[in-house]
Amino acid sequence: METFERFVKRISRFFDYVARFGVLAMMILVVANVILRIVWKSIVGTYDYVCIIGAVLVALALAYCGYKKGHIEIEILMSQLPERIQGIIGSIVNLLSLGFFSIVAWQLVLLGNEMRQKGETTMTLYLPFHPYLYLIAFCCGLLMLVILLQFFKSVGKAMGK
Amino acid sequence: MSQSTIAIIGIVLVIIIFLLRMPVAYAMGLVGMVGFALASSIEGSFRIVAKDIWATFSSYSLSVVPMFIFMGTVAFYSGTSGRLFDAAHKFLGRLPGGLALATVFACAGFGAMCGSTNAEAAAMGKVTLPEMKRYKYDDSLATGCVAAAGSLAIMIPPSTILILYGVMVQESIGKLFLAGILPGILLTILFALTIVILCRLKPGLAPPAAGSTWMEKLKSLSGIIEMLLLFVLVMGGLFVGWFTPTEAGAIGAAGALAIALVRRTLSWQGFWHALEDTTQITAMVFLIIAGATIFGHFMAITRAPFTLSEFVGGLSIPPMAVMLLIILLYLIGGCFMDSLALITLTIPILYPVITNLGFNPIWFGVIIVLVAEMGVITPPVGVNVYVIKGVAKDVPLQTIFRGIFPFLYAEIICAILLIIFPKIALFLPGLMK
Repeated sequence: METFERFVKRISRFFDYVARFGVLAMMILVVANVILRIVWKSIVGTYDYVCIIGAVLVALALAYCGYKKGHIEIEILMSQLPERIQGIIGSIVNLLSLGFFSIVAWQLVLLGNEMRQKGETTMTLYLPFHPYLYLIAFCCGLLMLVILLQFFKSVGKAMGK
Repeated sequence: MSQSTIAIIGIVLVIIIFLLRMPVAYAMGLVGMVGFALASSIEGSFRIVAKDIWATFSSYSLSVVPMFIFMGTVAFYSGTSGRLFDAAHKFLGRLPGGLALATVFACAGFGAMCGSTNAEAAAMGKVTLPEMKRYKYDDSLATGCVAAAGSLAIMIPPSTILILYGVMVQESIGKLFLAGILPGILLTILFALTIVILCRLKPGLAPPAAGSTWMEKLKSLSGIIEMLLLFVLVMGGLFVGWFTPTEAGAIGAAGALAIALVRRTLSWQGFWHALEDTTQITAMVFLIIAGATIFGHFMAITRAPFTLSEFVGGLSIPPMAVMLLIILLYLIGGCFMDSLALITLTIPILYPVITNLGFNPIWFGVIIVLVAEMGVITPPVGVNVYVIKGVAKDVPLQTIFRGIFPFLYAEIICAILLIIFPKIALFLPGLMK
């Protein structure tokens, strides 16, 4: 269990590190575009790059945000319940979440396949969309690992460990 | 089962799942997906989930979120809160309640860099509470004023809630930001008046602090002047149409970073933490918006918001009474639910009602933010109160909650003024090109 937790933490944090560079890249690109627009001419395709960087950075940060319990939860009721009940409800909630994200990942792959077949691209630079859809699907997979970890913890709680 | 019944079951179910501690974003996505499948088809529902997530994650208009968040986190880790408080302290410290007044004005200034209430409450709490303790300020006043004034971050632009609202209802984020400025200033003044009145009634609450010379006062201003110039550049650029909101955010973040580097106030560790906080908050906000979009599509296919809107429009009660009911709903909801969750859940349902009754969506955005500000300080879920409790560990929670009540009255007065004089919010956006 501890090995699995270490693995989940390391892998989700690694992708979050990459996302942090995405924030910097987006800031530098947009500022450079504003300055160049004033002194010379705009960087072609800034809009496309910003959309793609945004999608990539959000996807890469999802799992670590889940690991750090960054996704907003409402504690008010559950914190009043006994540990064991919290564990049982937590396991069910985690299973439902796993089901949801497995459908999301699967459907993103299907949407990516469809976009690849149709050759859908960005408007200016003609960057294909499908690799990024596959990446988001992969990141949903990472988030599922985090949820799986939380599921194991909830089961442990339910069993009084 | 009729479409309206499916919608009602969906709303009840999502609230139940919220209470079972499923993250808000997952719950809205899950219930939205299942509800859409029941109201339409499974294939359609699966498709809409993938499309909504892709559309949200790759949205240009949402790229403003990481940029303004980065601006705020850089300001947080580079000690801007301390410099703002120092300046306000030098000017106001000698007055009765002067440090509390300084806290409120410093919070308003920090709100111009930061769009998150908990970040502001944490940043300002760490700086202001030890100082107020040193001068033997009453715990209840000290913690109450910083918890309440910390909420100014979401009214004074940039504001995460206004961005989220703007994206959800497709209103100009620039106009929403401008609409928040005057109500933000008004609320700051009302908070300051609250402190003055409290200190007049009970002078023992806040003894005067040490005075400063004019030289010290002027010197303290130099610590904040560049931040004020940056705010004027960012908001001014938006106002006159030089930048898009994303560009304004990126310039704000780069400017805050440049100031921190020149002043040598940001360590490598602080820089790395600022980036970490940015990715974490961005991921949280985007996933909530994606979940709310899926849920919104479920609501739209059942036509429930439009049915509700037609029903309310057909009632023989004045629109303002409906508005007051909606505000009351947000006030009660805000006591139990995180503001972000409450707004993303309710906007798809209530927005058609608001527009159908003829209310201005920009004005309503400001009202929503004001009610959200009340939500972050009211028991039992007042997030800011818990943040302040984390900083002032020796102060009991009840003492902090007792301290926020006078400020809650100030917020209610602000809401009444905004309802009577909507121009307070709409004047600046009306001037925008």
